[in-house]
Amino acid sequence: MSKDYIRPMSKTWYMERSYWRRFMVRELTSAFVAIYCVFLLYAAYQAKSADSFSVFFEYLKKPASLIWHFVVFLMVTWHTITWFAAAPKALRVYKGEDRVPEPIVAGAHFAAWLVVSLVVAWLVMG
Amino acid sequence: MASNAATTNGSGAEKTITLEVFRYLPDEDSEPRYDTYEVPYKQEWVVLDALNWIKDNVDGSLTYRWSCRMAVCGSCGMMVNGEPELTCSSFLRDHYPNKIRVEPLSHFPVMRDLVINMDDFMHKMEDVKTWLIPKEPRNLEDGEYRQSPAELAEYKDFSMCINCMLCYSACPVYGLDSTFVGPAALALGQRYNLDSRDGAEDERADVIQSDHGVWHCTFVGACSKVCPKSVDPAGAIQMGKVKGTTDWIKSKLLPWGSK
Ligand code: SF4
Ligand code: FES
Repeated sequence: MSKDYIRPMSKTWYMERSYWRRFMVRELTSAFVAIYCVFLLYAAYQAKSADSFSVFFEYLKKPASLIWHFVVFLMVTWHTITWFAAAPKALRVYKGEDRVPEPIVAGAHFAAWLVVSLVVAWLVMG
Repeated sequence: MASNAATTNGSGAEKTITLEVFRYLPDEDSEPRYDTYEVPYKQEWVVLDALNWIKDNVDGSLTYRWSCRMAVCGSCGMMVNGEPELTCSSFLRDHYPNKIRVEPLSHFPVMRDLVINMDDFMHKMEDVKTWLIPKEPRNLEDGEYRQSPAELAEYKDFSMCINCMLCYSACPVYGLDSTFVGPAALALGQRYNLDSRDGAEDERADVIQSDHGVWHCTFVGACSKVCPKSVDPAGAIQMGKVKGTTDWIKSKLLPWGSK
């Protein structure tokens, strides 16, 4: 028993297999989701008066802010795509005896995402 | 690509492929080593055929597990070029002409050469109680249990598990902390929880809903990718999380409890 050989995982284990690397990228994107939630709370706080919001709004137009938003956009988009792609694992839908295929369940999520995005875009820009 | 005909014929030189095999002899070695073998390359050969060829022709002491040769018994799982695979269904042609490195399933202690110690997995199945525990005792006169095709469909996927442990080798959470109950044991727990004849979900929850159970899972999803039987342990575990959460909410919100 005691002679069993134990192979410990390396410190950089997540680099060793493609699906582990993809997992780590996804975990990284969730940090951006969290940080941006805090940022949104801060924005809501700045909206307490018209004055403070207009100051804040000027900051939003600066290049650094635009770059930050672009990066967050990419990260959150990737997070959402991988989240919806994984959704059928948690949501097993049956139609009688047959399981509704995973791509259909995932597709429904993506369709809902598209509709909600279009509605929001229409509200904001229209 | 060549047809099914053998790649050797009397006149031509025999094609070979290189296997690099993990060797460890507990009584002699303190560290493992890799032995290299030139094995005949055949279009229809799997890695297990190559290992058998080595054992028959080069080194009879090479130790590994196998039985059915048809992806049913679940005993021949090994790392093939770093990926957990059933060696009886992992073809040499998918790697040829590159060499193939064969190692014991990762994340498990190695007993000898390619044989891992599976005690931990066996204990986990016992902990989860991966067998049918009927709701109430039933007499023979009461006849058989009836189950509709729809009831069967609910757990059938999860019942296809052949206990090959590839999913444990794919799971970094288990690799980093082997107290995690792990994919197959949790999927099998779900298999019995979902069975209309079973009544032991609460008993299993002590393990399944513990910190070492479904809540230890970070949803890497690799278990479901490598599973040769499409069991989808990741799905079973996420279902377990959803069930645990709804049960908890019900027990908090409904004064009469969820049971
Ligand atoms: S769940 Fe799949 S990979 Fe895991 S032990 Fe069962 S058959 Fe093997
Ligand atoms: S030898 Fe039985 S699964 Fe490979």
